[in-house]
Amino acid sequence: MPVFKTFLKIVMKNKGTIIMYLAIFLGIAIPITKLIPGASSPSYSDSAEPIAVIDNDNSIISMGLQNYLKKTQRVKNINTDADSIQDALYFRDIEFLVSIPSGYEKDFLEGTVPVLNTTSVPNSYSGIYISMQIEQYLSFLRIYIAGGLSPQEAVQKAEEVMNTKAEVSLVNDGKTLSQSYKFMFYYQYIPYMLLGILVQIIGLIFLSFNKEEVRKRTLCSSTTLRSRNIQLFLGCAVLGTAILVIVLLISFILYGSELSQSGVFPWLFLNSLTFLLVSISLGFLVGSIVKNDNQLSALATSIAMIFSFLGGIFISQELMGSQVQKISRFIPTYWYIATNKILGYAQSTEALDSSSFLQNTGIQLAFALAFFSLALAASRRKNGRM
Amino acid sequence: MFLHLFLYRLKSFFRTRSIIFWTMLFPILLSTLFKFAFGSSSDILENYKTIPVGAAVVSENAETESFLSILKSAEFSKDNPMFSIKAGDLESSKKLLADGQIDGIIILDSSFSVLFSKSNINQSIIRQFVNRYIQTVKIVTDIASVSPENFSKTLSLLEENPAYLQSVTVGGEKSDPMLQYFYALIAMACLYGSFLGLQNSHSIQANLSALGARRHVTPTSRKLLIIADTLAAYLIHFLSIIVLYLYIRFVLQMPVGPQPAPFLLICLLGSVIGVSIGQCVGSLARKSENLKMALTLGFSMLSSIFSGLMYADIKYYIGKNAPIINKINPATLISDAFYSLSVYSDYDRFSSSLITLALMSAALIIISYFSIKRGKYASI
Repeated sequence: MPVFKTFLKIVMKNKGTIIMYLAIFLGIAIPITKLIPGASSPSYSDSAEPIAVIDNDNSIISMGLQNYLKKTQRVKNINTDADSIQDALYFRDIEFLVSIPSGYEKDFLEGTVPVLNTTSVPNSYSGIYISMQIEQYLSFLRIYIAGGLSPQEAVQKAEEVMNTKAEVSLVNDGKTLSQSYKFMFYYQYIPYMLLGILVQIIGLIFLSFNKEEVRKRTLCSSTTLRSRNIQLFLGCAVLGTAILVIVLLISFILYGSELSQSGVFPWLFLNSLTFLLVSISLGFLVGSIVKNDNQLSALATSIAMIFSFLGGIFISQELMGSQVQKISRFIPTYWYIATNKILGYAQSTEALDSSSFLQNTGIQLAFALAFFSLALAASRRKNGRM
Repeated sequence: MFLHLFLYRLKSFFRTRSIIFWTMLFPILLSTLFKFAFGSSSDILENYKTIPVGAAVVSENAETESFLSILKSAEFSKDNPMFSIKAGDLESSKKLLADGQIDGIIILDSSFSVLFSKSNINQSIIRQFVNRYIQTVKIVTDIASVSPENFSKTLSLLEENPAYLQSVTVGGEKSDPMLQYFYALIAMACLYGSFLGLQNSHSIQANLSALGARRHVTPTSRKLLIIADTLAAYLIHFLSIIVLYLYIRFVLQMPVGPQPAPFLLICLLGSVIGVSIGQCVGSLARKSENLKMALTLGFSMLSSIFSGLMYADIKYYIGKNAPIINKINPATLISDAFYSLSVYSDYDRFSSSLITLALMSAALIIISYFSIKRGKYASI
């Protein structure tokens, strides 16, 4: 099987690419699963975050705000010079800082609304959440004071109101979990790696085999065109399976007990297998439209990036604008992630609504088919026959 | 002579399309993707989608009536309602919740409570909404009992929503959380200068390319050739980083680099270290061009990912577990320098990052210079 052998030779020559994408994949996936729950639920919950309050007012109101924050967050004492504050924020000793200027209470009681400066570590959801809490507290305080209460009473009342909350209960229906499995995040990054590796390498292989001289040489050899194509398919299958097996094995090493308890592994496997087909067909397509190595690596890297960013791999789909979400439906990764999200919360296979699973898988397969047909059309146009 | 070499090197870079792609077009493409994917943080409310809920009325009274009407009329933004009520009783709501068709159930009994099957962003929005309602009810009854004479005046304050807080940097400037992704992106673009460096070392070594062999037999001094090549690469790369900066700043409207002078200084050092990494890899490893390409690309990618290109918190994970990596990872150093400049107004960290970058570049330049200059080929 000379074609198959050459296939493997080309793969071995490019093992750098494979190792690179595997390293990137593990380099993102492992820390992220370690950083959960920070990653799974942007801290909209009532978890207490480390914060600091700089109080230059020392008034009833400022103390009231501090007391409220002390009860809901972890208020830390830090030095108040700019350097220490910078260090504390930089090393994440504190997530959030609010400073109360002197004269705050006086302005507040006069009815003007003085603005408090806050600083949070960049991109922090907890910072947004704490800001919301403080704003609510201050707005309640303002109403009580306008209602004629003394600052002491108002502070007490405002805190009381802040603590009036609806009771929350979580149902356990035996089907879905309240928190996702950790492996969901691992599986979320698989398409990026599959696309990165397979589009590049399969593209390269198609590029090499379809070079004018190579193609002519193969055509006049004793190997039939059919046998050549079968060997190429075999090569793709072996390469794809090998990578998938490595990735799935690592997932078992990292999350073995969680995976076996969840019982959703067969579906995770099917989903990633489906995406494997998408990546391979995309490799065919890219390999049959580019003209040289440089174009190939440019296109392959861009596709991996675009599909990952817009399909919801690097950024959660919920956080994207509605326009972007509409576009992302035209990207196969979107449908992979849709299934992955269902599986990430599934407590048993009962939670799997088979129709949505079939739909997501069907759409991915349709993408694969479309890429494959386009690839055939493109290479026919280029070569007459494949 | 020098000028001639320099200009022709520039010309040759401009004609190598793959280099222009990686150093200029790819970062621009990626920054556009960032902008698209994150949207702008100001219209975040428009991005939220209507949340399907069940409103289970257990005991019907005036309060549940008024709550339901508020629930129906709440909007994230104009014509984008917050909630859509899919069921009105507990039985069918629970069924929908189990099927995942609604995100939560609000149970309207004598007191209000909420029921979820998971906890995520939508669930906290529902909870906050209900909390806000019962808190408002409490405050209204409170005021009505303690100071009925101020009732209407006080109530009007509920409608007002003045700014109580303002987010600033330590130095007092307003900040934007999305910026850190763009800084990591510029750091990545700087490291992509390694392609220029790789190209440089490839076309000067006689055993690597025909061009290298041809240039080796010229009487022109090697020192001059190397310096002209290197300076041309710095210039091209620095220019493409400036183009990227202008694109992000003025086309995408992201407020990167509020202080242009120190900002450009970081870009310059970033360009230098990017090119130097490529030159060093190219001059050391006598391996195939493909492998070296994969090596430089892989290094740039890993380095930028560890600085937070795709997932911002990775940098802090590394900082906690292996702080030494953050201290020598060029992409982290570059993005830290940007960061301390614009977010923390911290010139100590800014200068220490730059000094480390400069030292690393110097080491790389010396290694590659001597390794290329030494090359003698009796026969190839």
